[in-house]
Amino acid sequence: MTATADGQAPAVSKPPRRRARAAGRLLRRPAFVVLLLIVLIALFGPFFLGDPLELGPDTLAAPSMQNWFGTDQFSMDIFTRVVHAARLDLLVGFIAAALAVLAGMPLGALAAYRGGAFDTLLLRVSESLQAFPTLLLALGIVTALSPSIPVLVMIIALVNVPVYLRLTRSAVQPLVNADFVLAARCAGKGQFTILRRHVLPNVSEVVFAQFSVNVAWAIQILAALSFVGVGVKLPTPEWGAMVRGGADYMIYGQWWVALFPGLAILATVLTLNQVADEIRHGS
Amino acid sequence: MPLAIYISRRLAYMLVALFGVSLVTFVVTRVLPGNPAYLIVGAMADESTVAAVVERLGLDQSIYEQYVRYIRQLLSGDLGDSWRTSNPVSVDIGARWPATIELGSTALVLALAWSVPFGILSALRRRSLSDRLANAVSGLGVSIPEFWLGLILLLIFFGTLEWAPAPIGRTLGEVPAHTTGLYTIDAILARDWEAFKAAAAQLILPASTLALVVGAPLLRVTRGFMRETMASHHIRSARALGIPERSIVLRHALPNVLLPVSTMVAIMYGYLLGGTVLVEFVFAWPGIGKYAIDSIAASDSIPVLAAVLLSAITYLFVYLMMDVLHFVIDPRTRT
Repeated sequence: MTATADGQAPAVSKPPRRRARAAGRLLRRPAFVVLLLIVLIALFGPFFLGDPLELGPDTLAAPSMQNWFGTDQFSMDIFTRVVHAARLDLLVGFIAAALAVLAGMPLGALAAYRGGAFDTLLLRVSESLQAFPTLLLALGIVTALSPSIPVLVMIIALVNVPVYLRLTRSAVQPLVNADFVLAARCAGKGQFTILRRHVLPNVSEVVFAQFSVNVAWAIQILAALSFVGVGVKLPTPEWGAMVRGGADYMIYGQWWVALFPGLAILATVLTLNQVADEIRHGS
Repeated sequence: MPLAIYISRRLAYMLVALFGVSLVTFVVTRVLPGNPAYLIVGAMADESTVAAVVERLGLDQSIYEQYVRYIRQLLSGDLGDSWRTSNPVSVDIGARWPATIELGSTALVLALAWSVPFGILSALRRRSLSDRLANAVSGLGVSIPEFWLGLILLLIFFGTLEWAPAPIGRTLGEVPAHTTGLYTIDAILARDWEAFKAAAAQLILPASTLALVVGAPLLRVTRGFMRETMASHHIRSARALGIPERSIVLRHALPNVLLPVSTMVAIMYGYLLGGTVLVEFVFAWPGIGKYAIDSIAASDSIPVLAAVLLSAITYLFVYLMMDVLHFVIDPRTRT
């Protein structure tokens, strides 16, 4: 986009210096820094640790200097497995939430912009979907299909689409008749261009905050599905499956098997929720 | 708008939602790849059994006719059969729902007991110790995996302190005379205090787990609305009139807060009554959620989808009741 002749301020993206400053601001937000740390651990941690499936000398060894988080009933090192599992859990959570945004955000914006029967139909469909308890609905679908990671991602994304649809719809609705949107319409822009260039940038903050919550939620659903035995199966390192593997030992004193993977879920989800709060209250 | 018209309009909405809900479960069973007959009778069934199911469900007919048949079955109360328990699903669910209702209702009462007062307190004293504590607890409650929380509570109160009984569900030596199916209530009705103590002891850990998880969003909503209300003009006027703070909070602010909070309560209760899969699973609580899980483990999908459908209907119904209640007590909804 170029500056217009009559000196009107052109709609350019932020200049680089302001972008760098925005990045600096992000680093001053504690939850964001923790999230960055978790992502870095997930990305690079596995390179420094051994095979998550490697068997050690002792089964159910208590946490020690050799095995920081102890070993499980198969004698695998729990610390190694918790770090490796971060990859799968974060990846599934991120992709599922991203798919849900990609489907829900345009649909919600379109529903608000067009209104009428299209809006009503989409709203009723999402209300019906949201009447189902998320986990039970996911369980129902998993039983009909055989569970694999792509299927799990699709299901988690599907149950999250209505959230974005309604969120974007309610954020876009007050903008539909805003002056700048009407001006764009007068200028002869098509509805998709208007939505993409003029409307959606204005709601992105709300959606980003929700995205962070949603990644957290997706991770919780994945862990829950694995915990009840229809998601990821042991020995694949996944936090929910690992909690399930340790559940029976919890009451017999080998608390570390289920404790640490659960703590990993809690820490990740808590951080993502805090990041959402920071996006909402900050900037 | 008169009440009757309002209710009938809301019922019409609910019918639309129910149509959507039934469509979803129908699509899941019938339209997904694979022969649904195998879903129903299991992969081991012989060909004649499969053929019989194809015949009964009308799988050789068009999708449209299949859907009509499915709805007709649902309306006659036929949810299909479970081959794991070899009972009609409606019978199985009828036997298990009281357990879920007992657990869900107890959890809701416990959740309300801690979250609403705490939320109000933290809104009244911003940035105080109790506000910060409320923030931390609700943040944790929203983020904690409930199945893991259940395990931790078991580790502490059963494994270590030995205060709570083993997580073996609702097993009493002697079940009190069956009136409501809720063991605690039945025991009270029968004045059987031993049975009441045993039933309550088994209930307390799973209910507390749920209460913590469900209470967190309730606390946030209460705090949010309370802050908003306390900053509003009518509270300022009340202050200017010199009304004591206590009565401002209890008589002027609280009614305005409880109304929107009750919507959240309805959502939570609808969720709890639909069967809380994870907590029922951890504590072997024989409710709808555990029924669904056990059926999944046996690849018995008809009970799972029936449970899914019923919990969605329960949710819609609880939500409808709350809307009607709002209509009756809040004049602003009547415009």
